[in-house]
Amino acid sequence: MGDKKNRDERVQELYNRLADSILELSDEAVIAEVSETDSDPQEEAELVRMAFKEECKQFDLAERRCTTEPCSIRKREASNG
Amino acid sequence: MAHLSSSCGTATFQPASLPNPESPRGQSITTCHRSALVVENDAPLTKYFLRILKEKGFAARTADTVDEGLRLYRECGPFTVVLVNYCVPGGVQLAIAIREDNPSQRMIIAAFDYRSEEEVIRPRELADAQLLIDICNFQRQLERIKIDREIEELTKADLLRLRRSADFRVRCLGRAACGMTGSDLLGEALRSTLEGTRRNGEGRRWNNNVDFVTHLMGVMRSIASSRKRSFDDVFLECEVLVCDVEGHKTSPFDNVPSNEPNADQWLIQMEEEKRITGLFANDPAAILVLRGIFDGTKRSEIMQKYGLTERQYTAAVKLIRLKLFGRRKV
Repeated sequence: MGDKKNRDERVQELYNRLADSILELSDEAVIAEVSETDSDPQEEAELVRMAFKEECKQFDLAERRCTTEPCSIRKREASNG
Repeated sequence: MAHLSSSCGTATFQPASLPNPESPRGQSITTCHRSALVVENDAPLTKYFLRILKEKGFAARTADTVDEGLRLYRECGPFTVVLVNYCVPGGVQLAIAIREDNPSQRMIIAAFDYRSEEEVIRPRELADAQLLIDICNFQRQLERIKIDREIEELTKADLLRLRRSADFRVRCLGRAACGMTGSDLLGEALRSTLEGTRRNGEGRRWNNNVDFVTHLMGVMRSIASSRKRSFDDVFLECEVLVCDVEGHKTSPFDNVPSNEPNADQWLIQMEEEKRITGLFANDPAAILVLRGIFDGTKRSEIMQKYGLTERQYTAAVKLIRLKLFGRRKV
């Protein structure tokens, strides 16, 4: 069983190392590397930024709902007597 | 229900002639990464705001009258955030004037005399301004503003770095990913960071010790590893037994396969390792690096063991990244 586990971890270790290795790259190297794939670096970067902004927007909306909900609940409770 | 007004009956107006503090890290207000304008006429409060702003890396200017505030805004603005206390005479009009000058100016209105945000009716121009009812929330609000600012200022390379790292992190999850994509993991990392700005929030707080990219990378690592752990968690059967309506005990294990790799999965993993190695049949350096990584050997040890230079090692890792990402241009 140990060997089975170990086999699973060997491939994971590789992907983990690759994920960490990107942090060590210079800005130019990261952009150049993405350019070497089918992706357009500019487009890909903007997609990430847009996704981040959308995430923030959704979070703020949820926050606002949280602050207004107790009031609506109180109003509902009051109207129900 | 009270309306925001330009004066506050309960406040005592003492001119606070505090000098503007040195901006953090010796930057001027115009060059500082994050800046704030505080319009407040209560000296202890001004002092408190300045302390928190400084802690959070904001360079701040202060004004104790609306005229001074407007002058500073027009001379030095826009700011990352403008904080106006509605108790300052003309404070609300000042906030409206600033919004007319710059509709996207982020603003916090301090309204400590109210018990909740619902009690405060804001002019239309300030509908999206943040309200500061409880002074304890000031730090959190600044942290939230900082995140927006950081997202705006992430460079192309930063964004790509995060995206690529997320993709590899998800691949590393293997079966535990359960359909999660790199984009999902990035979103979850940001959500968790935003959650951390909430009071008593359970997310991961971003402190000033690390930059935003490193923080998000760390959060992704942590999310991935806890996801993997929970996927690998072993339960005792007696912990998950459920009773049906007739009182018969049934075990979910009867229907769910074990987390442990079975013979097929073990074979798949072995095949995967073989497939990856096979991609680099013509790249001896890459094969050596892969062998080292699979064995869990450290970078320096791999280089030493196989006599690889820094340049050879880096080139091999780059090749592995590109080939495994599977979208290399022909």
